[in-house]
Amino acid sequence: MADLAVMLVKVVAAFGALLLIAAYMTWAERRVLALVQVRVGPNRVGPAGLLQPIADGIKLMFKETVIPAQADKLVFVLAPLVSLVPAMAAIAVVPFGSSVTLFGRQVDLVVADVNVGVLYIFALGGIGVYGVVLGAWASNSKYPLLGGLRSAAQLISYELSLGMSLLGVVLITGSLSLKDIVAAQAGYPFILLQPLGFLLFLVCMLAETNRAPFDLPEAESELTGGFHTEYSSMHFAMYFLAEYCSMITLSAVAATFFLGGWRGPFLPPVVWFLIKVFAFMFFFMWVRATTPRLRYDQLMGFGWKVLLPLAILNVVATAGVLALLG
Amino acid sequence: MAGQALFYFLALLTVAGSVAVVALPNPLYSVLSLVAAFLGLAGLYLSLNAQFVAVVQVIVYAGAIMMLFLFVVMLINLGREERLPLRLPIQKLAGTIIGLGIFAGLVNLYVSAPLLTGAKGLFPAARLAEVGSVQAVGKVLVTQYVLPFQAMGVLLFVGIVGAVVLARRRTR
Repeated sequence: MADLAVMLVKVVAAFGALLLIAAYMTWAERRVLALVQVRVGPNRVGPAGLLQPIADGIKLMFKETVIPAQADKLVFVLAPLVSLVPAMAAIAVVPFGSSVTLFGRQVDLVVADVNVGVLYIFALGGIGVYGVVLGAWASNSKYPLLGGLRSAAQLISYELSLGMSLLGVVLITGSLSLKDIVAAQAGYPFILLQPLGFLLFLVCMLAETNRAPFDLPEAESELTGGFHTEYSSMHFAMYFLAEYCSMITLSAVAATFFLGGWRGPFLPPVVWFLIKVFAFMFFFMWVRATTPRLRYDQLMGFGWKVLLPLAILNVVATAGVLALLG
Repeated sequence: MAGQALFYFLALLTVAGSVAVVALPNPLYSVLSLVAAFLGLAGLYLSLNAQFVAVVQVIVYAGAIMMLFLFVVMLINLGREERLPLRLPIQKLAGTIIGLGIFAGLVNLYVSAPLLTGAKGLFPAARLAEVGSVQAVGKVLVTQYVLPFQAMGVLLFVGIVGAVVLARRRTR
């Protein structure tokens, strides 16, 4: 019974924090973009515009849901959920701190320590693609369909390199559990052993979350809004939340695999974990503000002819060195 | 008790999904039903303590392969399915007999053979919890079953070469 209560508290805390951070990332993103582009950004609602995400949320909730007449209504309504739920659930296997003792109980600061943790994240990523493709198809409109097809092709292509780039760390650790991977980085973070893997992961991370310079699915100058052109109010907001949740999850994965997760001197583990995640989130925004969008054929060529061979090379080299060292 | 309820839920999801694949008129809904059936199957694997197989089932089948099906359905924009008349008069009869035969075989297997509990073999539940399911699958795959594993690689390679050849012929 007590175990169940602990579990429930962890689930509510983790997902509450995830949604809160996702909401405030929209504010942070607008402020950072404004900073880079020498503008002011949202600063009217509350001090420094801090209440802006709440105002946006209320606005989106009270907007009318418009469903196109020719749309497949059931799939149209379900698709944003198919996108959001896996994006949120993926955070469950990421440890956000060492175990703490609360009321005489040892509590691990991870929602679920699964022994196939990394694969679990990829499986959910694979399901999340359906949200984009189905939403695009169900809108029954040409721009969303084109955006959705592009998106699916891009996600499938970059998923390979994303998985391969993490394989080096998995080989070194000998475990797929994120908890073990953090434990293995007690001495030094894996970025020192896997610099190529880290760079590959950074690039693939941008592509997996449909962010600039890989944001072709929603290239507004050619596809208006991409797959979510026909979406409005909360359904649109769910797609938006899903994008930010997967950005946070992948940032957390990057921090866990290459920067030692919650490890760090002086400050408490949870604070270190958040600092690392926010650093990656800032990287997302920084790249968006400074790079132009790739062309579609460049995107595909880059993924298959540059990233994937490099990722395979990294895996083979890591395995070779490990075999030599015994 | 909870485990049994979960089993019946997952079994129902798998069976209902599979029936819906053939029963639904809209091909896109058929694809989605198959995804649901695969997810149910992955859940069943999980309840059998095979986490690795379950996750790979989701990644490969529910994630990658069904996405290709979805692509095909979306790109050729199928409407409601058209019922083609059967070519041979005995097709229906033959299909019924074969189907019943396979079903009888399954029932026979269930009745005659003792149920597999997972207590025997190289990796019983206790050992599995110790080494992890990835290690268990990997160990068996590259020792005992290395020949089928390599043959599968050749098969996939032939498939890729075939796809490239077909695609090139189309563009010339």
